[in-house]
Amino acid sequence: MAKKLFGWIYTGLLLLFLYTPIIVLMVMSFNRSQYNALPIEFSLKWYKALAGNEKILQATINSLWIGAITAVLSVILATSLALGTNLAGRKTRTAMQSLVMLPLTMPWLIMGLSLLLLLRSLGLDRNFIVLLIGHLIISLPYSALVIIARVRDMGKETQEASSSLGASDWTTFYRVTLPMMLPAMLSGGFLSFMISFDNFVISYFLIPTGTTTLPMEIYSSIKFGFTPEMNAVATIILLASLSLIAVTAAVMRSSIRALFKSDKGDA
Amino acid sequence: MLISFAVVPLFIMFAYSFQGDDGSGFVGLANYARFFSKSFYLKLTLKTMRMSLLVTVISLLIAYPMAFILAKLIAKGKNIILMLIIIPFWSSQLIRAYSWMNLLRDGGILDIALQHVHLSSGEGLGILFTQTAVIIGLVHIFCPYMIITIYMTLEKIDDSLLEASRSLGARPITTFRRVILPLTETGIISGAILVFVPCLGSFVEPRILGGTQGSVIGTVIEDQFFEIYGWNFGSAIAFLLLVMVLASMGILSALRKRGVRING
Amino acid sequence: MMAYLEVRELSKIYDGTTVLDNIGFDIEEGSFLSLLGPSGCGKTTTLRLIAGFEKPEGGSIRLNGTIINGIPTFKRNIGMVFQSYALFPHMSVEQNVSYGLEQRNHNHSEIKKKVAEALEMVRLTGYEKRKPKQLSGGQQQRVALARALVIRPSLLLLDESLSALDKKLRVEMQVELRQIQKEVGITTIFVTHDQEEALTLSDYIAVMEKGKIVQLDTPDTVYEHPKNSFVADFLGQANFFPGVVRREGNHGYLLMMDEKQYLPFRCDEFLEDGTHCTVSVRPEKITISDREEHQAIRGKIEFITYAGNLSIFRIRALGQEIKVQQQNISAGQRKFVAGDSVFLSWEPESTLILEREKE
Repeated sequence: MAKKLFGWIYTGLLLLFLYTPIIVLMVMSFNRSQYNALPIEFSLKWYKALAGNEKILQATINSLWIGAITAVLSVILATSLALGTNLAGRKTRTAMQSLVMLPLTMPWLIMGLSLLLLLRSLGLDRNFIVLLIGHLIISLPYSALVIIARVRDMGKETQEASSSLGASDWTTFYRVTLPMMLPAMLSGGFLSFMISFDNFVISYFLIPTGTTTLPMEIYSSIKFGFTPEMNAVATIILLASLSLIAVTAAVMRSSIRALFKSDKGDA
Repeated sequence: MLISFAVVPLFIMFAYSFQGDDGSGFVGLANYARFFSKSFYLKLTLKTMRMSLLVTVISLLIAYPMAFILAKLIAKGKNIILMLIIIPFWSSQLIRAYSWMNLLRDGGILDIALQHVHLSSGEGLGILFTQTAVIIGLVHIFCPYMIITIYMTLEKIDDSLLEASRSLGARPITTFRRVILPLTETGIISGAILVFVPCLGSFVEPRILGGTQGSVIGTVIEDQFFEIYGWNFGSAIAFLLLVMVLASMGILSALRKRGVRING
Repeated sequence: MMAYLEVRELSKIYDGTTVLDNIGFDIEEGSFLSLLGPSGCGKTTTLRLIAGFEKPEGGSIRLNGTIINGIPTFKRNIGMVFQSYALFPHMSVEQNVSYGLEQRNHNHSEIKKKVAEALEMVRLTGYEKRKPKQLSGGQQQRVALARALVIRPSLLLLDESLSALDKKLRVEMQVELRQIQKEVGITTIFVTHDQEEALTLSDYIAVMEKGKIVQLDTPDTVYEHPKNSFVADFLGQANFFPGVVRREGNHGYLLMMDEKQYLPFRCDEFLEDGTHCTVSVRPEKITISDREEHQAIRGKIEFITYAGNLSIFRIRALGQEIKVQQQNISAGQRKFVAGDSVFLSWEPESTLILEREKE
């Protein structure tokens, strides 16, 4: 009994540690005071200021676009990877799937740098395409993780059944495989979007001069010191991410459980 | 057709990793020499490693009990708590660094709160813009990784193993040391890889939270590229960082494989 | 006359291992063949090759005169029921069953009619709009069957489809399956490792071991006249006595076993002196008596297991353990106990001569 209590207390403390800064941030964004002083007076002042800030708005739109494109491409690539390697032998499959996961452990600094240098050596200037590629490389593992897990769970029997009933490979794909993978593809897409949207480092290195993304704007503001407007920005982003996660979670509830379940789970 | 689609991103990855950063240019190894000659840079390297190590160890200490609690002691609400742990993952690293900056600064909430409780003098916390702040920030970001990887290995341990150990007369500590710990070794090492390596290359958090005291290899590289325009030198440093990264990944992976072989 | 399905010299190699070793068999139209064997014997592989999910390394498969090896699965007009049923989870029962028909370009009203007929045949009328996860195991099985049959395939293939059901339901489904199969008259291949199932359902059984067909016969033939010890032991149970034959008198034989034991027996065939073979007899064919009879074997009861409708005796005789099985027909039956001395005998036609080699 005491153990359980201890468990909950520890959990509570940990969650406190994880969430305090964020919650403080969010609360403060509604605070009138400029210096984050107490007492707290509720105010939407900073949000209003945001609405008028052209630069930030433009940056946000850029981030949204980049995120969306990255998400779509990431899902398409992850899906073809998952389905393609499914047909291959086991060794090729493990090799390719591990390869896709590689960017997860590579510090973004190094990745961004290398891409930049690659550009330079080709004589090109920073451009949008490479920026997208950079975002794609780092977000692909996330969607691949989800989609590959789904393909593995699915097994091949439903597709074989479809073939046996007379459906061509293409028909099988869009009437059986695709619908069954849809939830995973959606979550993969959401994940990729969020990774790309939040990403700072890669954008930092690869963004063409003249354009900017939201994280970059945040960074420059921070470098100058502390601006309360940033609280508002951060809060909005946090709330948006949270709702996106909620949607994803609802859609992918069973898959998330599957991700954490060990092999000794039910048949 | 599908397979060719799959190959493309991999090819891109290969291309970039080949490119690496040998932009040390014509000056050959001079840049590397410059790095090694100045003790400043060597000290910096050590500092970065020490910081990463510290973050890893602290994350481990915090994460392990949490993972254990999650795997063994809490039945209901496990999924919710897991989700709660993961959610901060999805907030931008910038925002998280910034939120700590907000919290820790002199005159910030924490400072004021502690003053009220008379735990600190009126002169400010003095945490922000120190190494400590950087470490706190990094642990905050990375310990969920640890929690997850350790949790995954813990979950696989059948309760009956623990019961068997108990029935054979082992005290809880022994059970932990001889049964649980070895079986979670791979989880710990995986977590270590996910924490240590990115820490080596971090520069955002050190910059934001550490100010001038927060110089690490990452920030130096950033400077070279964006402030000083010493691209060649910066590349050299980055390459050395890459070497460090690969070396640590290699060592840790080898450890993990050995763990897998021993523990099954 | 050509058989409906002809398989010739079919072989399959996986990762360097020969999984199917040049097997061949024929099936008449409308008959029910079971592929029976332990796991790894190649029965599922055979099925999958016929279905077209894998390509054989060698050999040919001829359906109704046409060679189908090279034809892709979706053109083969087969109906398959998987072990896991493989129902499309995102489609309703109705949509699942109509799927095959839609691939064949029937018109809408025709499809509706056929789906209704199919569901009626498996007694699932009224379940059209349900999703697979709302159905029980038995119901899912029937949907899978309806889905495979509604397209009127040339062949019906079942891969251990009843394994996932519990005993009672399984037996029910066996009966239903057989009824439907006979009604529709469809040629069926059924893969199973359960010998009872094979015996109950089939017109023919192909017993497989290690990639080869050991015996292909009607169920009673396979049971009463197994070709070797493997078949004898796989279907039902058997007692085995290896040794050398010596003729004795008229119609009598002695089997010389090791350690100076000999088994007196009679059988229906003529055996030459010196034949090495394994004499075998099934437990249920042996009679236990407390009176000595001619050529009876003397033994001692070691253990009796009561199994409801049967009693199983473990008797020590001739230096080995002999298993005897008797129906418990209640009144008037002699009650034996462990430790009794008894005499065993059986009819000549029950004697099986297996694995014989010439001296």
